[in-house]
Amino acid sequence: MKEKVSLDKNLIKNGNGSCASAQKFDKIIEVRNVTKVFDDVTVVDNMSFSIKRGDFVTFLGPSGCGKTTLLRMIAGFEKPTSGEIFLEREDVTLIPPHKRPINTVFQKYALFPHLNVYKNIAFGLKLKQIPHQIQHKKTGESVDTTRKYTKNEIHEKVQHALKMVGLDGYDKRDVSTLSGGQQQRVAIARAIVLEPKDLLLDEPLGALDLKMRKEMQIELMNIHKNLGITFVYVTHDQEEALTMSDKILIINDGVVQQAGTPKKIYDEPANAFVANFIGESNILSGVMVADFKVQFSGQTFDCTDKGFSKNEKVDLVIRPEDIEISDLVVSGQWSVVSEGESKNKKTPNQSPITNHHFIGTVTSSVFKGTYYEMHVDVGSYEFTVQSTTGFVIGAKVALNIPPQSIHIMRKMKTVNSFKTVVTSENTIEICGANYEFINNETEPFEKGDEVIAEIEFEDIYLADHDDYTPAGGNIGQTYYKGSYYQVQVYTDDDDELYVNTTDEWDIDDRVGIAINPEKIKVKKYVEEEDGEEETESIEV
Amino acid sequence: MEQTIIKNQPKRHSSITNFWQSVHKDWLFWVLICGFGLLGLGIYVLVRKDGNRGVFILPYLILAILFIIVPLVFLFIQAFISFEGGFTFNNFLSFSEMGGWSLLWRSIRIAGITTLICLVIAYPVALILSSKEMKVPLIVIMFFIVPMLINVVLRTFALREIFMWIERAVRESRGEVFNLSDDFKIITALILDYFPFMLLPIYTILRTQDKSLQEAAADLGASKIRVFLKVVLPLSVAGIISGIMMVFLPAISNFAIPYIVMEFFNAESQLLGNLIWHQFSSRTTYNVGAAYGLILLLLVATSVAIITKFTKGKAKGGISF
Repeated sequence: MKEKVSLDKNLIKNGNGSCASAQKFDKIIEVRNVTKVFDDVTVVDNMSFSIKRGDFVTFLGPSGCGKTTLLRMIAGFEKPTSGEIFLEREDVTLIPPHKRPINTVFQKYALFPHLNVYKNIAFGLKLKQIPHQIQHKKTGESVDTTRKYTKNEIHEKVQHALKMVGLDGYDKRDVSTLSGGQQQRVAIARAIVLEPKDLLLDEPLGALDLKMRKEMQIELMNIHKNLGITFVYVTHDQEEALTMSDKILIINDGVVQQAGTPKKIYDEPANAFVANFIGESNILSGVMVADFKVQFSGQTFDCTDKGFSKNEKVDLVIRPEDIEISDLVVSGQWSVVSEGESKNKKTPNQSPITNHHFIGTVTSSVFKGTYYEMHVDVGSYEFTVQSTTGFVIGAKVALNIPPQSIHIMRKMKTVNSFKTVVTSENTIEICGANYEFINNETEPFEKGDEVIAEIEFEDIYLADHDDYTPAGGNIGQTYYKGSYYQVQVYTDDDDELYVNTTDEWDIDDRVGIAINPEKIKVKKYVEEEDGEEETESIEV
Repeated sequence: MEQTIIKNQPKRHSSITNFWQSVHKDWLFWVLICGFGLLGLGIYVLVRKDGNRGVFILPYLILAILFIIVPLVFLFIQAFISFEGGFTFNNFLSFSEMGGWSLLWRSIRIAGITTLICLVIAYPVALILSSKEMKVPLIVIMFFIVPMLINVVLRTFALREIFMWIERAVRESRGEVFNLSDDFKIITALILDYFPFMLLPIYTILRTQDKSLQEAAADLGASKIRVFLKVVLPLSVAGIISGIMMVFLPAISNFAIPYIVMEFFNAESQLLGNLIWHQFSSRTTYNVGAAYGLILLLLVATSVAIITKFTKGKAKGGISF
């Protein structure tokens, strides 16, 4: 957990920040260093970003990643533990929801069951104060004051909103008699009728069936276009996010993983999480041998990325539709290439001279309407390939990976590292439990020593249950890396660690964590000047 | 002699037959009633047709006929029969002579005040208990229910003692005669007895109320007071009605609490229930009691009808009558 930002430091920062931002961008919402902690669990971790006026922005992430909490803080239902939220350069962090010019469409509609459709939509209008000028009777001066909407104005606005969501004639209906889609339309009408500067939508289509959802997606996009206001949309559905948004913010573990246009996020995912979450992808581990050269699966490939240090371990993503798949017979090698030979081809540093990189066998082939999705086993990795030409299961195929289709990402984490304490002569605390270790250092450790423990991903063994292991945990994300899986394990004391394993685990599976004592590298902890972590503001 | 003793000694039975012999045979009644219920369930599970669901009502139907409908019919007949036998209206006519009308009015007044005070106290308490922000522990909620765990007679007797202490304390300090009014004593006792019945339905309905509705109202520009008046209150009407029914109806027909609180003295001039009790305590006025009982029944039925009429369609998401 990160330290809270000290108050005075923050004030200075804000003063500088808002001036600069005002000139550069028309930011409607700005979130600065926002952290939210619920019962010692950090849900949103020091987040900073801003949203441009008029955009359709989506917060995308798996459930429990903090996206809804973030939205609720913007709406005003939750107060950040630290940090500020600005709306049109005005600090609204402590302003209650009813005073914010923002309206929300709730996940489960939250329509008032005791009111009919008309009264539901008119609810906010009846409360709203609008600026009004009156002429003073004697002096003739005009005085600025506020008034409420008249009955006729309300009627007109409600009818207009109903028309906008395609529900004219439903005004007298009881909300409980409406279908899910219709209720959602009423909820949208109720929010947009107030002409908010900002419309927040919290997984509004989650409860609808697929066909209805697709219809509503298009309708929402039309409403966004017609109104021209900013939409902030929360979803866990990556397809929905890609279809609808101008900008996407990918969130995981309370941290923005990547922000950008749907195309940018799809084509250039920032890390393995994003690549895995957005679309089908082949994620492999590789080594950058030089600029524009990456080595994986025993071969060196040309690629379009540079700027990595020599021999840096990287993740790389290849989208299934970018892989060129072709019949071996056409390339004339069907007769000569056998299983054994194809394995021999993959000796290290052998540059591909032929017109294909891999030869493999189709293990599954599914027709998806406009294309075939196939899995091709090339020995070291099973590629997911999408192509308009289908191959039968068992067919030998050649795969070609063009340089522009390889996208290199920095590794999120290369080793599990913990700052912990020695609990006795040969045990240290990891994940809240005591683990044995073998001391390779010359100096012995004493009880209570602060140390750094490092464990390689492949040195952790996951057991089916935590009966015999010191600590247990639950499986989080799984990344398929061809010959093995890289799984993220959330331990019981809310730590996370990565494990390379050949076993397949499902999300939320219960596991025991076993570590070979010899493989735990323990070093003395040297205190560093721990500067205040300041996240860079992302402009969305 | 010894031989006879041995002869009379019961044979060793298995534990089941032993148990069966120890059970009084009148329990067979409840075994049969429950048996009907389980039979209905069995038939429903086996056949699974909507039409067969009616079987479920069977156990209660038998009970209702035996112990509610039949006694009601008897009550009705008794009310129109004089002590000597034969049809008469005199049982009803004596009602005003016995001061029945003023007692009836007094019963309505006392039950009404009791209900109102219960509601005024219970609603804010329920609101606080059900609020998520407050994080009220279960033990606090239990605190309001604990009085129900103490026997009602004991509770009322204790209250009577407290009243006596207060009266004595004031008398001693001021040196003049001081008595708490009958109304105050009875209403206080009724409130203390029936408060949980007002609290629980309101608490339950507020607890189950969708909190996102309050957020939605706030989001649409409603201040905290408006959220309460426009969303929370209208949506808790069903709980309020349940609470009113569960306090007002037992209070209006009560007789035991005034009886104890008034130290068994002059109790028949307190509530309608006490008058009826008084009539039934003597065999000669049995039929008069039946007639008054019928009047009380009419009164209760009218109150239910009035409450239902006033709240028709307003009570959403709860029990409606």
